[in-house]
Amino acid sequence: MTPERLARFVATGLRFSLAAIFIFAAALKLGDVRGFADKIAAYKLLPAWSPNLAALTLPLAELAAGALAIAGTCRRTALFGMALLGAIFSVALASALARGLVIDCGCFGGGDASVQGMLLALGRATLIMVAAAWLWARLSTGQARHRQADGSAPPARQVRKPVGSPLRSSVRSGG
Amino acid sequence: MINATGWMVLARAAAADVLACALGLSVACAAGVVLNSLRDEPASLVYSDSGQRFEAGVARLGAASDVAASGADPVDLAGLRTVMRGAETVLLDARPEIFHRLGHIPGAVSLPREEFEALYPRLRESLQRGNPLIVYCANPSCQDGGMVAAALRRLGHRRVLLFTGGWQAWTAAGLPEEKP
Repeated sequence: MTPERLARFVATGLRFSLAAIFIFAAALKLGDVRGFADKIAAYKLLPAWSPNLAALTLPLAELAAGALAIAGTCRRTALFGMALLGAIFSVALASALARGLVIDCGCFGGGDASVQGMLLALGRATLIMVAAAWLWARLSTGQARHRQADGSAPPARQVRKPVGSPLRSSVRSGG
Repeated sequence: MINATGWMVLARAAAADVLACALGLSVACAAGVVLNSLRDEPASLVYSDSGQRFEAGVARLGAASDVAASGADPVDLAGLRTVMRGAETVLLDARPEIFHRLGHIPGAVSLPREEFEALYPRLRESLQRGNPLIVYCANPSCQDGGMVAAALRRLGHRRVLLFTGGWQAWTAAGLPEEKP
């Protein structure tokens, strides 16, 4: 298995895992707007009137990011959105930890409020962010190469390039 | 690894995706508001915290406001078992309904803090037989139990006890649990 093939294999697996995580997380929150709003409010980051709007928005954003990361269209934007949501969540959690708040992180429906739980969630969110950012960067450079190559829109799936293509060296460096 | 052109490519993609995500979040917000309005009980768009929501609901049920200060009598596990042996009691589970479904103290009735206003009128009759009411929630740091117990006091129930250890103390002692 060539390094690029391995990278593509890992990338696809990672993308589907991230999509599953986001859809799962969204599904848990969709049914409980008030509960999720309380968890958002507990971070004490947003203005006092806003947690309900955030609680209505975020699960749908997660759901859309997860679904589009699997679907063919807007895949790059979906991955960017995942990285963005992961980053926002990590910053919010880190800020809560820094301010000494002990809260239920509100990531997967709920659980106990504990510093360990928050640290675990922070680690998880950071991993998700890094993974999504890597996939996004990979896809961005891949799309740019396709545009350079034939001036057409990139295909939904990355096709394997024939051996001896002039792009081959950049494939290796870009992965 | 990535040269200057590569960074330019990423920067351009990032700029486009920031805009797309802002658009996507706006659409998600609008969709969320629309979906919310289609629900049976839409959440208000302006947030009020759980304490405020609970207060408003209890007040709508016609609770007195002066009994609040007296609160409910706290009991620990030993106290709880003594009371349960001595009299017919009504156990009330103040945790969110999903936790009640996952397992509760045998005989306990679900009366979650969040659904108090809707559920209390249905339970009122069975609660008014003069039996001691014992409220519990998840663990000693959980506030729902205290809030529900205080509300019951304000609604005119004389004997309201708060089992402070809650579900955590019950299961830690290895006592039987009931699942519906």
